[in-house]
Amino acid sequence: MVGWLYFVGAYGSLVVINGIITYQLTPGKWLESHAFWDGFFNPTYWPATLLRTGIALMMAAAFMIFPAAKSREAGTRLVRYIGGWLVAGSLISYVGYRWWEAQLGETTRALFLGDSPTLASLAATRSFTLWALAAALVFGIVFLMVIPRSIKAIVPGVLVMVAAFAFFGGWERLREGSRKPFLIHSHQFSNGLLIEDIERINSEGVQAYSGWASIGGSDDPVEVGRRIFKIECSSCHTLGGYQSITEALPTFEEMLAVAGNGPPGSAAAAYQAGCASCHSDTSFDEMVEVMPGPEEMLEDPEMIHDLLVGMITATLEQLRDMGQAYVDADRTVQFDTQTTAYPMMPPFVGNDEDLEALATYLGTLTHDGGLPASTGGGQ
Amino acid sequence: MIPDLIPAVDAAGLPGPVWLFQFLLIFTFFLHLLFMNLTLGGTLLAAVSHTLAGGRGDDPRGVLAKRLIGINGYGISMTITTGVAPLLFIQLLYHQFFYTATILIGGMWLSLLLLLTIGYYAVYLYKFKGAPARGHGGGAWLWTAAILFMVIGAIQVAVNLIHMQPGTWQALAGNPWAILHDPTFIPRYLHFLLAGVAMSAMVVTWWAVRQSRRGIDPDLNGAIARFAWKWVLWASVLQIADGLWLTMALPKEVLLGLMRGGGATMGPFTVGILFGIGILVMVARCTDPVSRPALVTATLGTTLATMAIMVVTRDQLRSIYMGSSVDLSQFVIRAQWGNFVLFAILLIIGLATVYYMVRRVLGEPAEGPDAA
Repeated sequence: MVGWLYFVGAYGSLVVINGIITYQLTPGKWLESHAFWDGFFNPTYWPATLLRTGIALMMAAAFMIFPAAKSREAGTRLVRYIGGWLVAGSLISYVGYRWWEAQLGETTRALFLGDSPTLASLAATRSFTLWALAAALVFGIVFLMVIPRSIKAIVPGVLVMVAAFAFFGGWERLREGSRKPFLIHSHQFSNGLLIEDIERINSEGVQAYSGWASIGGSDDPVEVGRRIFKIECSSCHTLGGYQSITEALPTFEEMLAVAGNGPPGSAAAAYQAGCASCHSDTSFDEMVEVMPGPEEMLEDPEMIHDLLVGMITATLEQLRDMGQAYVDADRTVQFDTQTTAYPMMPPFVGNDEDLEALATYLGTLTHDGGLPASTGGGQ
Repeated sequence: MIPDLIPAVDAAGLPGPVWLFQFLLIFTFFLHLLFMNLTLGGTLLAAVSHTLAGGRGDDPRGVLAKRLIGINGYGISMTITTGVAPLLFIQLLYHQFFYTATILIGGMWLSLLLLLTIGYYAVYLYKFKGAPARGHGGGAWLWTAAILFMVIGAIQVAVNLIHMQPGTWQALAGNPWAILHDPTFIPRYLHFLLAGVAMSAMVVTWWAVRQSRRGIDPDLNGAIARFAWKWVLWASVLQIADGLWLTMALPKEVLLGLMRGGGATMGPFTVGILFGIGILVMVARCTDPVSRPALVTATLGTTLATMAIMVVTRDQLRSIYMGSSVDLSQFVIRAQWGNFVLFAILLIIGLATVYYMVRRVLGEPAEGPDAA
């Protein structure tokens, strides 16, 4: 009786929380109606419920492998029994996964599927997830069902567990990554920005909208820009760690490398690595033609700094313009992020003063391609 | 110029009237406190008792430690699950304040999960590797759990103090540790800690008296009851002193606000103090609780009533602290009564399930190595 109570409580928790998590990724009709049940029973609710049921069975079986291996009375029969649950869980998970993927919008699938997925790392996560599931299924059949005595050695049991956990973790990462750049798809961005607030903040400015942008009282553009970075960017970017902003910024060293200040032939490679993603319409030769030479750069680093800030400013303007696409879109249906310049990023919001301050601050991070000593990359 | 740091109210509105969520916040927080007191104070009392017993499980104080951890095996999970409801209700009503506070001490706030996980495991390690399983040892695990739970309590006090004082946010943004310098931090923290110890000792006394009166190990249960009763007494004495300290440490305008609230605020506050003194008088009147079972039961009942009243006062203090910073009437109400009925039914089923399980545990406590 208590066991059944526990099951109903635990599974009920899955059923409820799954409604919240899937709503964030695929709000479906909620975008139009804002009705609770439309959000709860969203397009990926049932597929994810099936998938999570499979995962729950896999986890239960994985956790019981070693207790079963230690059990003297039960022996191989118990290991086979657990293997049956693991295999069933893997198959249910696979069906659930395929259904879940099919229910995602085309724009979301494009992030990690197709010939050129928008996010290569997310495509790799998907491959990892499915291979881990395949491994869990094969290991489960071989080690738990065909040769259950193998579990007496530690390695086979560990392999089954690692594969099962890797699938579980991989899918959760894929699900979270698929939601980019949103917290609630087509409604609120990862940094807390609501689509409905874009126009207001663009016209009033971030500093008028949020007191946190003017905390400390300093009007120094670098300081204001640092605060805007914290408000708008730091929920996804650190300075020098995960999703490092300094790595994404152009640097003096990169400019120098492209201008030809290195071993022969390295400049084209440097252009490809550091510049091509933002200058897809400009060839290496064209770029070198318009760039100052290496001697000129070394003589006047201030000019190069201004150039870098100019490049950052242009990107921020592009990011701000992107906001208009969200404003103009039909907000009752899921937004197609593939139509924007940066499908995985929220737009920049703010007036010209804010934009200039953020560009000035980011410009300070391009010095020596490194971080100010005091930050430690932790923000 | 002081910037306005309070975020805008969520335009999505509230799914029901404000009073309903205020009631649910207070009610579910009281439920949380019932179990939280046993987790926080009970683990500390168990660690002290275990140490006083020299780590032996056959000493009455060692048995007391075993019993408290026996309760906590279930109690910690109940503390966590009952903690979710008030956490959700506070975010519903005070999201601009509470969410901001958790961000200001983000590292500490997130570390809570890690501390809780380690503390919970430590309790189980004591149970399965220390005194309950082997009859001796395990004190290090017990102290680990007690200290981690006390740190969690301090984080909770910090986040609550921050959320109701938006005037401190600007300073805290640069140095979140400055919250430790809030004059009310230590007395407020001690108020929870001492309440936890007193209630845990009270529950242990009540149970030992009950067992003793039924003729089960009367000597052992008598010794446990007398030992725990002394903890109720001294924790209550310190609680009254600390309550005075906390009251005096409150910002002047908050204290004045409490007084100006008239019967609505001074009523519960005064009754709470009188009940606290009443507990002290009841405990001091008796040195052998086994001979006065009715008094013990009445003291336990008064302890629970005092907690309930103090939860109301705590909520009123929040409103006074926040003053004009908060205006709950600005919420747009978009009632969803169907969902509320569903919630209420599930809450009743949940509470009935807990009642059923507590009865099962009290009636047929699990024994042996499989008793989790």
